[in-house]
Amino acid sequence: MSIDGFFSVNQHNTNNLEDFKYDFNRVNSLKLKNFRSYKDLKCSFNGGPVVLLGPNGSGKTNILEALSLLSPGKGLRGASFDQFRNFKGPSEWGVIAEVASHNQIIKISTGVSAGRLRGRDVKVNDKKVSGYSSLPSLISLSWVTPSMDQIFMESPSSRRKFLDRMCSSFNDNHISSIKNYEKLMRERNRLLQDSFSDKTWLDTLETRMASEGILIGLTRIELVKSLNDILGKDQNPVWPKAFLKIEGDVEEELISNNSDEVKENYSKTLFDNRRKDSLSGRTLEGVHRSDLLVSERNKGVYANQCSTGEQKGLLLGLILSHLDLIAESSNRYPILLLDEVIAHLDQVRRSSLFDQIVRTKAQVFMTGTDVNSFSPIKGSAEFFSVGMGLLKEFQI
Amino acid sequence: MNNSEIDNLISLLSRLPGIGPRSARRMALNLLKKPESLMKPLAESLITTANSIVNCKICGNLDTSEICSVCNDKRRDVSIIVVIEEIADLWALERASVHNGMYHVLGGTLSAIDGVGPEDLGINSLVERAQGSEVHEIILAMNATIDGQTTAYYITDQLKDFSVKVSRLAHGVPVGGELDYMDDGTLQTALKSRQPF
Repeated sequence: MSIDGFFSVNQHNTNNLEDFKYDFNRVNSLKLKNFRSYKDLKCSFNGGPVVLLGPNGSGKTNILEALSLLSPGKGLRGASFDQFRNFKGPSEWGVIAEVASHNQIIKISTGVSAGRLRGRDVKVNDKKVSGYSSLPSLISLSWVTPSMDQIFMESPSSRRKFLDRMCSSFNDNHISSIKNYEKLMRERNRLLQDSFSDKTWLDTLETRMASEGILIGLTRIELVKSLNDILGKDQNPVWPKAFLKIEGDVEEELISNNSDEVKENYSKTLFDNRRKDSLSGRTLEGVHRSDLLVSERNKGVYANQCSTGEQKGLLLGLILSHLDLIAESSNRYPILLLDEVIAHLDQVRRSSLFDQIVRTKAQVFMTGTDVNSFSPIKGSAEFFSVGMGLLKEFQI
Repeated sequence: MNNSEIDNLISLLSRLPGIGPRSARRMALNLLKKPESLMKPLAESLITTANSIVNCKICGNLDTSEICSVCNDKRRDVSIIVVIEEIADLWALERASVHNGMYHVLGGTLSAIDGVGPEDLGINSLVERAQGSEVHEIILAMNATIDGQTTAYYITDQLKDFSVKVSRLAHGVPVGGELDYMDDGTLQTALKSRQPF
């Protein structure tokens, strides 16, 4: 690591020597090529909180979405890859970011070249990497979007994805395990459609599914336990306190039993369910069916029975605790993307959130329409006006 | 030659791995510019090779005779068979001169989604070979991908009733690799498969 590199990584808020023990994930610069409303955008950030201001439809969320593509998956909107392109331009698109990670500067680029039908390419320091499961080890991102307000009311799959995204910052191999598990499950489902003629092949797939499933379950349990510990210790009265529990046979069994025993039971369940799974055309039991149950700690009621404001508070409190957990467990501060979150918070919660952002020194990207909502952090944040495919920095 | 023939040539060239339509056009133009020195010799070589090359009946390697030069080589150790996915893997091992035994080319990996089952790969012939009294060890050298490893587990299961030793290639830190640059999965596997020094 060069000395120059070291100082450029920690250029923001480095007056405290304690900060040097943390690896602050930061996006130093961002280039967008033919991405959504941006034909060709270049911008740089100083590492502190970033506020993106502009009217509805000006392209604020597109910036957050581009940043979210630096982590595995389809980004914060869950869009398909052909939707990312600028519809007035060619079919290629690209997101190129210079990222501070592990006290080094890394260039991460992702995009789709012309004619590619599925998936996106990911390059690290201009070298193509296979899949994007290596990204969580380089950059950790978390986000809250308006559509997540409904997360406690939606189907288990959205909460499971949310849980697994939190797990991916906690354990770099989690995404690989999920991808492996899903591939093995697809293979098994296909074999079952063919009247499961080859029993040895099915045995092999089920044993391997159980191994990967156990790894997934163990990471989820560890994350939930650690988050519950942090949420239990949190004395801040502003945010409603969440209590998390995983509803899933495998995870529940793993809490009280030896993982080898659970693995054996898991394989046996898959074996016993072959007929049922074949008829339904899918695997009916396993870690891919688990749910994250969230309840309000003091009232003891499930989040879906809480008021809309409380649900929002539970979610944000959870995200902030996750930020602290990652910092505590891996000395890393992930990047946080908050889309239209500030406008919906009352004065007390807004102040508490800004205090926490300034205290943690995590790089946070926030969007909003009203500059006054962000006045409490005017001394700490960079402000950009968004519109006409451009970002313009301004002072308030 | 009319345009449709050129188009056909480009279309055929672009079906080769790693060759896109643009590269195919450049290759076709290059061939057309050198009909005597390149295009015709290449066409003749392609026809001769297509007519003479066959898969080895024993290991699945490509050769001009039904029993390939590797299987025919009396100096090689017949007690060890390295199982690989593709012929390219056999060539890689031969280039490295690290194995003096025999090979078995599967011709792919198990994939229910792609419709590749055990009967489409050389698994049955491997099981037959493993029953031979001269075979003592089978080394599974499949890629460390999910399909490669599923195939390796499947073969291990198929061979469990025979007295032959089944081993696999080591997974972990590559020669000359620096720990600082390894991903967590590689480090974890390397630590688990550590050996006495």
